[in-house]
Amino acid sequence: MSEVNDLVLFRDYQVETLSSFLNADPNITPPNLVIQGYSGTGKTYTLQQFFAVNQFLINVWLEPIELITWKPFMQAVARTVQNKLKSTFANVKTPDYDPLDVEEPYLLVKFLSNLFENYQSFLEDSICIFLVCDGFDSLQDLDAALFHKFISLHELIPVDSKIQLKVIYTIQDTAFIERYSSHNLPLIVFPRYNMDQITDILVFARAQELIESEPLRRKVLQGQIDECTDDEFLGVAINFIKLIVQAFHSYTGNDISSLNDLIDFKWESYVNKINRQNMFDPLGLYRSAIAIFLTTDDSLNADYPENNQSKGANEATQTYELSPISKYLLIAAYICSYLEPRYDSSVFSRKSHVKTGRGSYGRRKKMETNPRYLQPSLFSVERLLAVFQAIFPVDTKAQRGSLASLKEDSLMRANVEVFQNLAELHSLKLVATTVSKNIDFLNYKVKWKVNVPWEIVSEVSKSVNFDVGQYFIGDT
Amino acid sequence: NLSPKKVQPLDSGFKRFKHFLMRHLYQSLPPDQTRPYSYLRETHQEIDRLLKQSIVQKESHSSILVGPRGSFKTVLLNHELALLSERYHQQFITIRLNGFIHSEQTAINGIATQLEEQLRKLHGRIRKPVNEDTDISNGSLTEVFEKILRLLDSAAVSGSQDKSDNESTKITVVFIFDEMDTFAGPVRQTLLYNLFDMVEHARVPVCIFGCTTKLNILDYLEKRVKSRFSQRIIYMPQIEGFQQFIETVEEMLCPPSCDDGLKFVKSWHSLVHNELSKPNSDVHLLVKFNYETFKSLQHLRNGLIPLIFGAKDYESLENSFKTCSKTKSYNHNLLESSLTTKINSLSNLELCILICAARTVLKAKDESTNFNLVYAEYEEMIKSINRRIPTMAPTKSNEDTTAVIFDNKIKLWKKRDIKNVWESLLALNFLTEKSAVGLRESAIAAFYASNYQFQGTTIPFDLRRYQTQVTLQGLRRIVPRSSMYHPWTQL
Repeated sequence: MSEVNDLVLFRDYQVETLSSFLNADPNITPPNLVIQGYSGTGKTYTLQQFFAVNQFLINVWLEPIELITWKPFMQAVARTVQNKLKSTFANVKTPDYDPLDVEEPYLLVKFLSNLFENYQSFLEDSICIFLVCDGFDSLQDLDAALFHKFISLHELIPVDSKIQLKVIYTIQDTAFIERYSSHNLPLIVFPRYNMDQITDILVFARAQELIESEPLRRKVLQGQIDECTDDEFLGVAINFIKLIVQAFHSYTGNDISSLNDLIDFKWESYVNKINRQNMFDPLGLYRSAIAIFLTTDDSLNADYPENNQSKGANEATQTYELSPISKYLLIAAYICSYLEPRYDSSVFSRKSHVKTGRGSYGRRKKMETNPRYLQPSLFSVERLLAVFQAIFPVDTKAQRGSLASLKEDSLMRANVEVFQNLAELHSLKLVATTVSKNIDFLNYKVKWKVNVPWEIVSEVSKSVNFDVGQYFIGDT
Repeated sequence: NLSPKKVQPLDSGFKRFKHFLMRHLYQSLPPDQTRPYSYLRETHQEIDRLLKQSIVQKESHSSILVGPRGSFKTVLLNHELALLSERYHQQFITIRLNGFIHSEQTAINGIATQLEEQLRKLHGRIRKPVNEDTDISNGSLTEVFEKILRLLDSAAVSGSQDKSDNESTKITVVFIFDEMDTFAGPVRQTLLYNLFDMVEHARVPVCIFGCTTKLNILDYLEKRVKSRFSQRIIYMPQIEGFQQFIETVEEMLCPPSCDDGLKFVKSWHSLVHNELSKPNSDVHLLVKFNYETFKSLQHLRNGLIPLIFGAKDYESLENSFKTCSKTKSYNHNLLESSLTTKINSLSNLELCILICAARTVLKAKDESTNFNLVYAEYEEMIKSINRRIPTMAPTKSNEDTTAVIFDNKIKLWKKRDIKNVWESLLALNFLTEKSAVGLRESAIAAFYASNYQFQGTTIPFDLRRYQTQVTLQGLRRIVPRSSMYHPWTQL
């Protein structure tokens, strides 16, 4: 097994245990073997290397994640096993069975026993065929009964069959395995790597590739850095990987694929900072490239406000291209969801009172937790329209005191457009209703709520020069 | 050792011994070389008696084996049937059903196909294959069921069956039900009714064995089904006491006979015996530990297999058996995805966020939290830490090093960066959605769930409510005292 150990780092125990459970002789191989490890712990890689070194073990691979439900899964088992046997024993004439006939779990049993029966007279010794279900618990429509079906498959296939199906499952979730712990299946755990192991693996896997990458070559040619050996290039690449890990390890955790992504994102801009002086001065190079180690830049929004200087220029491009009415409706919906209705009149009332009566006092004490952190509460559509009217600016065109001003509304009415915009906001899922099927908007029971976080609403309100923040000052 | 497609040539005596030992552990030796463990002997005899009565003397019987998983229900039945098939090969056919794989509907087809297959095998060896049999499993479900019933119910009616019956005696049909309780569902129980009815009335001798893990299996059965069942329930014996466990482990490790002159068997026997009887040997402690926690021979066996397989020669087998390091590392490895190891494998930021989540959960009334609350807690925590530690004097005077500011403040990550951390905590199962139903029990329930849009998926990321898998008190015990975040593991 030393050959596998050369290819797989930090998995010596796992490889050794794998080889003690997986043998060519079906008599000393357990029918089910479970491999557990969270994502990026090298389960698939180790297994692949193991089978690549031990080529005499017949193995077929399935990825349940692309099979969605149990029926295609079982059909795929039938298909791949049949194809594998056909290609391995090409000189045996066998009838073809249609894998699509497998529509029930017991039909899979029947299919497999019929299939194996054909090889009964041909083979002298009994052999194993290993079926690797890579990511059993990533099947989308997984249920608890499916794993039971697979682990008891071997009991129904005849014991004296010359071909024995042995199933290897790789599973991420420990909670899934713990459901079946009383079956005492042999289990090999792939623990998560730690930071040093991650660094070594990344250096082992990526350093050579980074040296041979196009940006570095171009830079070297442009900058005419010709007094460099390969070892020194390697040093630059290894140093870069180490810097990336140190800078972003707490952000990614022990996750190889995220670190790989960050290496790919940042290598080019790192290379651009290389020149003749800092090639041999890692600290100098780090200083000149400090910007790429400070932020993750892990966003596809090019104009994210943090990393560009010309903030004012981007002010025009908004988060949402909504109409002003929609924007105010969204703000009003946010206010309705997060301010309590009992304080509405103290917040929004501006009219001078003709009749006598006290205005509302408003909230006496601050709230303990900021309500904006919590889920939005429901409101009725009338309250939304009232708040909308209270905050929507209407510029009066008519001159003050003229006859035309009598005719003109100083406040926005809920006209057709308002309802259209509201309906559109709902279909854009920016406002939501109480979830139920076939919701009836005209029903008085239907309550509404806003469905956007604070960050978006504050940006929307900024675009219409409305300070929504002042309504929430008293909260915390 | 890259011999293609062949079992290893078994060159040396030790390799043969190792292979023999492994097969003994897996209980895959030929049936005359395996012997069931001695504590199972009485049950074994009982099963043996029942099977012989129905196979040799052609009586009909039904019984149910009840025992927890891994209590050798299937092993005993298989062993007994294998033994009997050597002597009474022509006398019986076996039909196996598994409640996980067969449903009430498909079990009928399953019976028909197996019946057909087994009869063909039996007849094929007596004389030419009988072709009329092939249509047992053809036709619609009711037809198939009727055919089976007619065939089993009265041997005189069935076509090809009675030919073989006439010349000798009838063929016994042995049914083995695994997970019988799934057939004893809340509705109808047609299959069980008909089969138990056969035991009472049919002229073909039928022997039914049900295996189940449910102790109250009789409560599952309907009144009419129960009245047809023979009321014979065999409870699988459990190992009583540590002494018996030790003895059984010794049986498990020692192959019973050495017919082909394996020279290692004797010394292996004495080694195993010595090590197990020494009260402070590593093996003894391991067995003791297993007895007090799992009390499971399979669990012990899984750990011993790497030990035995990894041995290069007899001396190394002896040594590694004495120290049991391989088994210990197997047992250690099983725990490497536990909650504690997972927490220790987190980066400092992930740990910090987890602590914050546990803090907010502890403060909340309904023990749930969301991303906003956790980030607010995190922000406050980092600010408070940074306030307390004295920062190094900023190097203002030195203009060169403005780019690099050495300070020992803790970085406060931005909200959008923390989202990645939050997601990885989700992927590691530290957080679960509030009142979520994880894995559905059956395929139909999973199907219903996939057609339903849950509220948690429609609301914004920051506002989804989660519960933590580990409490703050739990974290306090796991996070080392030297950690900067240890003081924050209590409110």
